[in-house]
Amino acid sequence: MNPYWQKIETAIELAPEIPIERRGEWLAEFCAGDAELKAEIKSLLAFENESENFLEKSVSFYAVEILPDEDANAAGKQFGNYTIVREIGRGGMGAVFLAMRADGEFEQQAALKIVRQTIIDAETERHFRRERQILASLNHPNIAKLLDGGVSAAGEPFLVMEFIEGEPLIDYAEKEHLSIEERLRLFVKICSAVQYAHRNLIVHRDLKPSNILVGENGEPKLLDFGLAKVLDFEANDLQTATAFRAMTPAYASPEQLRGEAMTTTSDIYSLGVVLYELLTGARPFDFKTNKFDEIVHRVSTDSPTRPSSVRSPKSENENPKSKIQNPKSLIGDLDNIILTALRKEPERRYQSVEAFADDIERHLKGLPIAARPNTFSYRAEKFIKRNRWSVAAGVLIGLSLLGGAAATVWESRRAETEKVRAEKRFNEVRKLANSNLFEIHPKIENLQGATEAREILVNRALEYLDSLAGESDSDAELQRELAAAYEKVGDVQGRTNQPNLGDMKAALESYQKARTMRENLLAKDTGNAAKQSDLANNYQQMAYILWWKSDTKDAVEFYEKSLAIQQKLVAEEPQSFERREKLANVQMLYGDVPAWNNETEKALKLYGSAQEILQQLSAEQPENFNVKNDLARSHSRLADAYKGGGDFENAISEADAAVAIYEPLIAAQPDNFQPKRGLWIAYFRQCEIYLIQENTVQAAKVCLKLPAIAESSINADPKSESSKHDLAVSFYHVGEVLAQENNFADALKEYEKSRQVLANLKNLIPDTSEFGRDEALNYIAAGRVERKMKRYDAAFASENKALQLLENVLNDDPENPIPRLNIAMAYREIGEIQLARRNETEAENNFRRALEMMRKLNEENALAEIDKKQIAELQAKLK
Amino acid sequence: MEVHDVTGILQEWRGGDKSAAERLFPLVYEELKRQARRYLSRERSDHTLQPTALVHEAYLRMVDQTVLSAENRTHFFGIASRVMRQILVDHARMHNAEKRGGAAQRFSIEDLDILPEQSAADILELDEALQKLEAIDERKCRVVDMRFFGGLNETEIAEVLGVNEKTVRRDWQFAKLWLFRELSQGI
Repeated sequence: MNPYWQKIETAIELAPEIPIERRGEWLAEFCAGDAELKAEIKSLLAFENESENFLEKSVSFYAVEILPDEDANAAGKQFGNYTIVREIGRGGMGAVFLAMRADGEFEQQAALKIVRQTIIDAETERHFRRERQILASLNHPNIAKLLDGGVSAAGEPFLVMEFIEGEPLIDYAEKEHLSIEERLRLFVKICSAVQYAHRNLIVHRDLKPSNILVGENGEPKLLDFGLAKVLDFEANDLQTATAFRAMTPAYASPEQLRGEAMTTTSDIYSLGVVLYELLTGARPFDFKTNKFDEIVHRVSTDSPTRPSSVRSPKSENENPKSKIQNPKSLIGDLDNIILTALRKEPERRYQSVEAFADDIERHLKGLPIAARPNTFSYRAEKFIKRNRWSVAAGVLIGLSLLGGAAATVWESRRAETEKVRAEKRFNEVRKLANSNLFEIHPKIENLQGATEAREILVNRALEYLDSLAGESDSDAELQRELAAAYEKVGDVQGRTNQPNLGDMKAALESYQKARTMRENLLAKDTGNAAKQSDLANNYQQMAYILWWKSDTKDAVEFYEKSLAIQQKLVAEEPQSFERREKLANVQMLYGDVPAWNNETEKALKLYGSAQEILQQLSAEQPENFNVKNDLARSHSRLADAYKGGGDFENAISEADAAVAIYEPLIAAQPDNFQPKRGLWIAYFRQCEIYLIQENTVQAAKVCLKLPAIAESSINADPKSESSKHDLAVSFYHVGEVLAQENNFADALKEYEKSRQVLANLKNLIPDTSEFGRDEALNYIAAGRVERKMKRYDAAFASENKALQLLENVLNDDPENPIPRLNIAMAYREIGEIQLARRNETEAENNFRRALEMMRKLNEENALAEIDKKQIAELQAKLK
Repeated sequence: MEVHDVTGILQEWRGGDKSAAERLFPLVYEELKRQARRYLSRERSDHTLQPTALVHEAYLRMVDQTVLSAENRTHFFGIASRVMRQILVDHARMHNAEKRGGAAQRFSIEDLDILPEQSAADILELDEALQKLEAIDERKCRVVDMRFFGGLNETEIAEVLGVNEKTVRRDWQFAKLWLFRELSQGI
C-alpha cells in the first residue's frame, strides 16, 4: 500500500477519536495543505455512520443460493421416453430441463424435473408412483399437466410435465400494466384451478407467483401441482413430515412452517399471499432474517400490514404506469378479503377456494362480501345500502349463505377426524342459521322492499335448523332455536302488522309447530321465565293472525293465555322494563279484538292499561324508538275505541297525540315502515270521525292525506299487502269525502280505484274474507252515491253485489258482527232505493230487515254508539 | 479426491510454495459446493447457510487431521473463504445470465424466495469493488474475504495473515468505508 493510502488509513483510524466539531480543523492540520488527500478522507468519513453495519451480517444471507451445477452436461440424456435438450432452471432439490419426447411419434416439448439426493427404495417408489397417478388425473385448463414420471437408471426419480411458455404471475401483471380489476380476474382463474384440484383431494402445498405462469393469451397455468406431496417420501410419518423441504417460506402458511398437517386451507393462505403481492407489490411479511425459526415465529404471531397501507417501491419506481400505485384503493373489501385468507388459524380463513373467489367476484360486482370482522351484520348493512329500492338482490343473501354452508368436501373426507369435523360443522351451520335469524333478519325486518329477501333468509335458516334437529332431538337449546325459526317464518309468511307475504294459513301452521315445541320445552322446565315469555309471545302471534283471519273466538282465547303469562311475569319482577313492555304489547294487540267488536269498555281498559305502562317506559327511556312508537300506537288505538264509543272529542285528541309522536319518529327513521303506517292510521281515525260528524272541511284535510302515505309505503315495498290494503281504504275514504261534497262522479271513481286494489289483493291472498268485506263497503257507498245521482238500477246492482260479498264473509265467520252490520247497511240502502222509486212496500220490507238485524246486533252488544243511531233512524222511516 | 492431496498441498504451501494456494483452490471449490448442496438438502431444518460451518466441514473432510497443525487449519480457512466468494460470484453471474435469457419455465421445488432479487447483483458489485480494493491493498481484500465470505473472526484472520489483531481491525475499518463509498457511488 502506497504512502498516500497509508495516510488515509491512519486518518480513518484516528478520526473516531476526534469530536465532530473539531474534525475540520483536525483534518486541515492532518493533510497539511494536500487538498486531494483532504477531499478523499472527507468523502470516506462521510459514510462513517452509514457503513457501520455494512458487511457485518454473514454472507450466509446470499450463500443460500449456492447450487450445484453438475447437470450442466445433461443434454442428450434419456429419461423414459424423453430426451433432455437443455437446462431451464434449478432448485435446491433438483433441476428442470427442457425435454423432447424420444419415441418420435409426435414432437412434444416437455419440462423434465429430476429430483436429486433422494434414495429411493421399493416402498417410496410405490408411494411416488401412486401420487404420480393421482396428479396425472388432474385435467384443468389452468393446471400444467403431469405427463409422465419414473425412476432413471441412476435411481433418480423424475417427472415430466407439460412445458409452459409464459411469465411468472407478478412479472406478467407488471409488464402488462394490469389494473386491479384485471389482476383480480386473473386471480379468480387461478382460484378455479386450485378449487378443481381441491375437489380432487389434491393440495398444491407450494403456491407462489413463480409457480403460476401466464401465457401470451393471458391464461394462467399452475405448475407443480401436488409435487410437494409426491416428493414427500416420508409422508406417512406426520411427525417428521415437516413439509418445509418443499415449500417457500414467504408463501407458506403458519401451520406449514411449523411442520403441522396441511389442508386445503393452507393453500388458501398461500393464495392470500399471492394476491397480496399481486395487488401491492409487497409480501405480507418482510423478512429481514434468513433464520428459519424467526420466520416461523413472525408468520405465526405478527399481523401482516394491511394491503392498503403498503407502500410499494416497485410500482412507484420501476413501473410508473402500473395501476396499483394507489394502495388506498384496496381499503375495504380487498383488505378484508386478503386478510381473511391470511388468518393464522386455518379454521378462520375462507373454508374453500370457492368462497375466496366468490368474495372477489362479489367485490367486482359491487356486492357485499363475506369477509368482515362481523360478517353477517355487515352483509345486512351493505344489503340495505344497495337495495333500498329493490327486492331482487335479496336472493343473493340466501345464495351466499348456501356457499358458506358448503363444507369443504376434501376435509370431510378425512376419515380420522370425521367425527370432530361433523361436530364442528354442526355448530357452524347452527351458528349460521342463528345469525341469519337474529343478526341479519332484524336488520331488514322493517326495511321496505325486503319481504322476499326475508322469506329466503328465514326459510334457509329453517332448513338448516330442521336438518340439525333431526340429528339432535334431545338438544333443548336447539329446539328453542328451531321454534324461534318457525315463528320468524310465520312472521314473514303472514304477520300483518309488518311487511309480509300474506300467507296466513301457512303462517298459522308455522306458529303451531313452534307452539308445540315451546309447550314441551316449558313442561320440562316449568319455572323458566324465558321459556314462559317465549310461549306467551307465541300465543300472542297466533291470536293476532287468528284475529286477522276473523277467527275472533280463538283469537281471544290465545290472547287471554298470553296475557295471563305476561301479567304473572310482571308481578314476579315489577321493575323489569322488558316484561312491562311485553305486557303493554299484548294488552294493546288484545284490545283490538273488543275495539272491533264494539266492546268499548273492554277495549278502553286494555288500551288504557297499555298506554299507562308505555308512558312510564317512555319516561324511563326517552330515546327508545320502539317504546315511543308503541306509545303513539296506544294513542291511535284509544282514538279508535273512543270513536267506537261515540266519544269523538277524546277520539280526535288521542289521534292528534299520536300524530305528534309519529312525525318526529318518521323524520328519525324514514325507512322504517312502522311509524309511517302509524301516522296513516292516526289520520285515518280522524278522517272517519270527521266524516261521521259530516265536518266535510276537516274531513277533507285529513282524509286526502291518506292515499299519498299508503302509496309511498307501496313504492318502498311493492310486495307489502298491508300497504295495498291501506291504499284501498284510503281511496274509499277520499270517496266518502267527495260524496259529502256532493262531487258524486269523482266519488265513484275513488270507490272504483279502491275496489281495483282490493281485487288485486284478493287474488294475492285468497284465504281471507277481509278484503271481500272492504269491497262490499265500496259497493254500499257507491250504491248510495248512485242513488243520489238517481241512477237507481246501478245503485241496486251495487248493493246486491255488496250483499253477495258479505254473505261469503259471513260464511267464513258466522258470529262476526261486522259483516252482519254491513249487510244491514246494504238492506237499508236497498230500502232507500225502493223508496226513491216509490216501491214503498219493498222499501218497508228492506228497512224492516235491516232494523231486525240491527236490533239483534244491539242485543248482542255488537253495535257502536253511532250505529245505534241507525236503529232510531230506521224506526222513524218505518213509521 | 484423495485426502492426502489437500494435506500435501497445504504442507507445501506452508513450506513456501506460493503456487500451492492456486492448486488448492479448485479442490476446495468442488468440496464446498458439494457441502453447500448437502446443506440445503432436506436433511437440515435450518436453512441458514453458515460459511464457517461449511468451511469447517470441508476442512474435516479434505484434510488429514493427524498430519497438519492448527496453523494449517487457519490457512485452509483463508483459502476456503476466497473459494466461497468465487462460488457466490459464479453463481450470481449464472443467475443474472438466466434472468437476461428471459423467464423460461422456472421450476423450483425449493427456492427460497425470501432472497432479495438484487442479491446476485450485490454480490457482483461487491466483487468488482473488492478487485479495486485489492489493487490498493491486497491484504485488506483478504480480510474482507475471510471475515465476510469465510466467517472467520479477527484472531483467526490475524493468524492466517501473520499480523496482529489491531491491524486486522484497522484493515476492516478502512475496507468497509472504502467499499461502502465505492458501492454508493457505483449506483
